[in-house]
Amino acid sequence: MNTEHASEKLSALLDDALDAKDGLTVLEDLRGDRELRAKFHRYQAVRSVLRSEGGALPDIDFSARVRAAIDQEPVVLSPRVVRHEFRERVATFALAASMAALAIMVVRSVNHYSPDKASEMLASVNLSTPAVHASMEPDLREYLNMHNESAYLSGSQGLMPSVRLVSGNQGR
Amino acid sequence: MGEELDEELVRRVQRGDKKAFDALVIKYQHKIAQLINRYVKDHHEAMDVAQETFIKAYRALPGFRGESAFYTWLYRIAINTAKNHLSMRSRRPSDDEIDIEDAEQFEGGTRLRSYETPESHLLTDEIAAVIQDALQNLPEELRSAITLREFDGLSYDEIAQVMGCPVGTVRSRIFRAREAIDKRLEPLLR
Repeated sequence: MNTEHASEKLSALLDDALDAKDGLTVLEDLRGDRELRAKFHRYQAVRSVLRSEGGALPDIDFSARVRAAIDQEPVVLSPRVVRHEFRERVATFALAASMAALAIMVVRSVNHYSPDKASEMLASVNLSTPAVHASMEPDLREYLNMHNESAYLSGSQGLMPSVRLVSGNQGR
Repeated sequence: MGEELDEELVRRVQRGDKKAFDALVIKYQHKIAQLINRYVKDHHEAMDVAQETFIKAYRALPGFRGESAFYTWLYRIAINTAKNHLSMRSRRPSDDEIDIEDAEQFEGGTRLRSYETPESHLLTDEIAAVIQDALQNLPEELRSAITLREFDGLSYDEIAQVMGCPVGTVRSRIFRAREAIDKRLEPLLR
């Protein structure tokens, strides 16, 4: 990299004014270029004095000493990040499965209590059998029929079993 | 932008890239060294504590979740490491607790000078004199740009508004100011 261009980016790095891409490039250059590190060190010294921060500064080989110490350390990996991702995936799958199950139940419920379904069920009940027919008086049959149909339309479950026994108006 | 860069570097370290940690050390070694110097007067000891800080940070990085900025997290490690060092050497920490919020507003100035060793004090005086002289001899627009940045802490965008010029021009002026000062400083810090 051109020296002046690199130095200008160094100046911007000092001010946190580089995007990640350029920042990574400059830091990589600093790792491998002692002269550039020396310049960065001087820029830091200027800043310290202008801001009256005082104190002693690390020498330009400080990072090399830290690197040597880190090289003795095992490579760090972030297992918590991996576990966290796995937990997220499991949770997302569980939520999706729950929603799907709920959707199925809702659809079934709607179909179960829909007027169309009720009509089908009413139609499917064969009340012309002599036993059922004979067991009811006409007025009672009529009354119960009207009651049940209105109950179905309002979605009342409790009367479901009653359809099989009391509905007698297949012709309606 | 600085945080974006740090986040990327931390991600890389957490994936096993030690060179990325090297980059973080280069970026923050001066700030951390100066912070530790407030607690540990001796320069060589302070550098040892700074090195220990970075090693501790490296070991703890797998657990870093980015809930705070990386530098904030590193700052805390540095303070704790410095205080532990002083405790181990049977020195009492400063009576006025420097909490992280206070430390970030720490002015430095006259108080810090009392922490300097004679050697570093001398070096700072000599450097300060050269820098001040170089600053005064800068062209007006360069002096204004670097003064706004270093004394007033304005961002490039803010300086651009104050000076009525594009951000790119601000960046260039600050760079040229630093280069001019650096030419005077380089012989002193070889």
